[in-house]
Amino acid sequence: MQYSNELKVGAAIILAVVAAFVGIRFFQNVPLFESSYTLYAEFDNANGLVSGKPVRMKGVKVGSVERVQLDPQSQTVRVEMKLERGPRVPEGSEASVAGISALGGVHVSIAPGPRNNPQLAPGATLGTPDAPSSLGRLTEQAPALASKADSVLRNTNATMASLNRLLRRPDSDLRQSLAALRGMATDLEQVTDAEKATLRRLLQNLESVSGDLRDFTGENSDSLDVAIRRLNQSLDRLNRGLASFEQTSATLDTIATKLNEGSGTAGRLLNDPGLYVRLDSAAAQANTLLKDFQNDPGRYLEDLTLVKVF
Amino acid sequence: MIEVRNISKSFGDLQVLSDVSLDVREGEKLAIIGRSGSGKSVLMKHLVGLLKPDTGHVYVDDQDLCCASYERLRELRKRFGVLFQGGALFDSMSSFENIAFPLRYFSSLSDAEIETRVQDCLDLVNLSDVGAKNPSELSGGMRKRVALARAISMEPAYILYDEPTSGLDPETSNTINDLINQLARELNVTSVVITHDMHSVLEVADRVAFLHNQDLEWVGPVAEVHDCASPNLNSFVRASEYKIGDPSPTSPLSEPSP
Amino acid sequence: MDALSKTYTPPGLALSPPLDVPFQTAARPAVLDSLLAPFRALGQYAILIGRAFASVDEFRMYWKNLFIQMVRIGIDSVPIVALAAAFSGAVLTVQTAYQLETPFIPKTIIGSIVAPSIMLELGVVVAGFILAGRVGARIAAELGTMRVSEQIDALEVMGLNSIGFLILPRVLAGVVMFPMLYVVSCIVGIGTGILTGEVGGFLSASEFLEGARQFFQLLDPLIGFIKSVAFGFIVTSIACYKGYYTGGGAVGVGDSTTQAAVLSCVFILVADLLVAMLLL
Ligand SMILES: Nc1ncnc2c1ncn2[C@@H]1O[C@H](COP(=O)(O)OP(=O)(O)OP(=O)(O)O)[C@@H](O)[C@H]1O
Ligand SMILES: [Mg+2]
Repeated sequence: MQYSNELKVGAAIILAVVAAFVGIRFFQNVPLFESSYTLYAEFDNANGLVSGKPVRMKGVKVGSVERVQLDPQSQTVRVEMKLERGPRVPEGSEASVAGISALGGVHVSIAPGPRNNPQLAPGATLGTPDAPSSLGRLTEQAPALASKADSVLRNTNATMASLNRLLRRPDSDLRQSLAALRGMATDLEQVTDAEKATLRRLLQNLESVSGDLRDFTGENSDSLDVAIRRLNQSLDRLNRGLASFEQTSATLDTIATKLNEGSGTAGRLLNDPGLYVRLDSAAAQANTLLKDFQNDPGRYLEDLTLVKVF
Repeated sequence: MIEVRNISKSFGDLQVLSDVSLDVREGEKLAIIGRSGSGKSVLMKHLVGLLKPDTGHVYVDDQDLCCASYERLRELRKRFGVLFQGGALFDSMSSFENIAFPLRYFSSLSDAEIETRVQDCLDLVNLSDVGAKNPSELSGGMRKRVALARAISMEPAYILYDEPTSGLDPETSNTINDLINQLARELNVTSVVITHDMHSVLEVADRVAFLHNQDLEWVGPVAEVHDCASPNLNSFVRASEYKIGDPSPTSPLSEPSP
Repeated sequence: MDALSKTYTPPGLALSPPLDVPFQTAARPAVLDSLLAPFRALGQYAILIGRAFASVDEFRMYWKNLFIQMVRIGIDSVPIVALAAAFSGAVLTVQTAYQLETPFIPKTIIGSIVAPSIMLELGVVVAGFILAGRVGARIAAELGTMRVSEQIDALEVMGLNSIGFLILPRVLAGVVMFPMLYVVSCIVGIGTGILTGEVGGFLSASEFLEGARQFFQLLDPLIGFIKSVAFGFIVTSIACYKGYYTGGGAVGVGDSTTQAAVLSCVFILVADLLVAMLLL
C-alpha cells in the first residue's frame, strides 16, 4: 500500500519526538509511567547535586531530583524531588546530600523516620539532620588533618627523590642540598611529631564519635568508615615515609661524616653561617605550604569531601 | 508590445550583443534568424528577464524589465510562454504533469479541467498518447513538442519559440508551423520565433530580424528577405535555399556553412 | 562603465547569477579577483539563502515539495544513517572497553563514556558526514542538472520563484529531518553499543546503563540536537547553493556535486567546533 508523503513524514517526526522524550527520561532515571509525588528538602550545600540525580532511601533508588534552586533569601538550597509511590517515606524522615561529587555519584539520601509514623504528604519538606558539635568539628578538621599528613608525606617523598638524585651525582652542589635537607628534616620531624599527636587525638575522637554516628545514619556511616580508613592509611603512609626517611638520613649522616673527614673545604662550608639562613627559609616554606593546606584542604584532598556531607 | 532598447551583453570577454534595438509589435509573428552562436537565445532570454543586459532596457507592455521588482517581473512573465531550445522539461515529472505544472500553480482550473486542457495541448502538437511518459522516454523531437505544449498551455499573450522545428521531420515541422500560425490567428498571440529554418520563416513570419555580428543587421517584412541590401543575410538565405532545394533529406539543425 | 555597476544587480533581478554575473570582471587584476572570490561566494550564498527564506510567504504553493523533500532527505536516509550509527556505536564500545581494561576502573565507566560521546558528537557528526554525501551530493546534482538543462529558467519564466520553489523546501526539510535522523542515530548507536558490550563480554547492559545514567546530562542530547539542526542547514543550503549556481554542462554538475559534498563536510567540522566552543 502506498502511503502519502505527508503521512510518512508526520509519522517519522512523531516517532522521533517520542523516542527522544522517552530516551531522555530513561537516561534521566525518571520513572516513566508510574505515578510519582513531590517532596522538598533544604540543604546548606548542594555539593554538586543536579536535577536527574537519584534519591535513595537505605541505598535503594526511590526517586530522582527534579530541580535544585538556591533560595536567594535564606541562602539555602531548595531541592525538589520526584518520588515513586511505592516506598513509604514516613514523617520524621531526614534528607541529606551524599556521595562523591568528583565521581558524579552525588545523590539525595533519605533516612527514614520511625516506622510507625504516617507517610509524608506530597509537597512536604524533609528535615535535614543537624550535625552534633563533635561531629561538626570532625567534619571540619578531618580533611585538613588528613591533607596535612598527606602533604607532609608528599614533601618527604619529593625531598627524598631529589636527594637520591643528588646523592647519585657526586659533582652536584651537595653542600647546599645537604644543608637544606638537614634543615628540612628537622623541621619535618617537628611538624609531623606535632601533628601526629593531633592526629591520634583526632582518631580517638573519631572512633568515639563513630559509635553514635552509626546509629545516626546507616548509610553515611559507611562513608565515615571510609574516611577513617583513609586517615589511618594516611598515617600509615606517613609512618612508612618517616621510616624510609630515617633510613635515608642515616645514609646521609655517613656521607656527611665522610665529607667532614675527607675535605677541609667541605667541612668549612658545612659550618658556613649562610647555611642556617637557607635552612630557615626552607622551614618557613614548608610552614606556608602546611598553612595553605590547612586553609583549603579541599583543594588538595578532594576525595575526602564525603566527610563533609554530615 | 516588447521594446528592446540598445541592449548590450557580454559574458566575460565575449561580447554577444552590442547595442541591439528591436520592437516586437502586438499580434505579429517575428522571426529572429542568425548563425549558430550569434546570440539569438541570449536575446530571447533578455525578453523575459532571465538575463539582465549590461546596458540598455527591455520594456514589456511599457514596463522596464531591468528595473521592475521581482514580484512585478514574475507577473510580467506570466504573460509569456517560452519554448526553450533544449525543451527544459522537468524530468522528474511525466509529460502530462509537465504541461499541467503551470496550470496547477497559476490557474484556477479544477483537476478535471486541467486534464482536458493538457490533453488538448498534447493533441495540438500531435502527441495525444505520451502523457504518461517521462521526458527521458521521449525522442528529442517529442520532447520539444511536449515543451511547446507546456509553453502554450497557459494561453499566454506572448510566445517565444526557440527553434521550434529543429530536430523535427518536415511533416511535423509543418504541423508546428501551422500551430504557430493558428495560435497567432485565433488567440492573437504575439510570437517570436527563433529559427535557422528558412522554410519555417517563410511559412510563419510577418517580419524577420537578422542577427549578425552582435547586432541586428537587418529587420524587415518577410517578403523582402530575398532582395535586401545586406550581403550577410543574402548569403544566409541563399544557403538555406540551397538546402531546401537539395534532394537529400536535411535536418534544419544543420548549420548553413559560413 | 565601471566594474562595480556592472556586477551590481537590483534585488529583484539577476535570477541566474552564474549566467548573469560572471565571476571575472576585466577591471580588477586576476590575483585580487581570486582573493576576493571566497567573499563573493559567501555573499552570493547568503543572498540566495536569504531569498529562499524571504519567499516563505508563498510557501503554501510549495508545501507539497516540502514533503517530497522530507521523504527523500529524511526518511530515505534512515537506513544508511542507522547503519553508520550501528557501526560507530559498536566500535566505540569495543575500543573504550579495550582502553579502560584495568581492574581499577569500574566497567560502568564504559557506558558513561560511550553514551554521551554518541549523543554529543559521534551520532550527529557521523550522520552529518553520511548525509553530506547522500543528501548534499544528490541535491547539488539535481539542481545542477536543472540549471544546465534550463529547467530553472523554465520555472522562472512560468512566474514561479525558483529559489523558493527549489531551495526553501530542501533547506527546511534538512533542518527538520536531520534532528529526526539524529535521534535514529543515537538510539541505534547506543543500542548497538549496549549490545556489543553484552555480546562481546565487555560489560552487561545494566552496567552500561548505570554508567550512562550516572553521567547523563540533558545538555548532551540538547547540544547534539542543536548540532543536527545546524548540520541539516549546512548540508542542504551548501548543496542548494552549489547546485543552483552550476555552470558548464555535465562537468559543471560534477564539480558542483563534489564541492557540495566536500564543503558540507568541512563546514560540518567547523560548525561542530563552534557549537562545542560556544555551548560547552
Ligand atoms: N551563460 C553563458 N555564459 C557564457 N557564454 C554564453 C552563455 N550563454 C551564451 N553564451 C555565448 O553567447 C553566444 C551566443 O549564444 P546563443 O545561445 O545565444 O547562440 P544562438 O544564436 O542561440 O545559437 P544556436 O542557434 O546554436 O542556438 C555563444 O557564443 C555562447 O558561447
Ligand atoms: Mg540558441
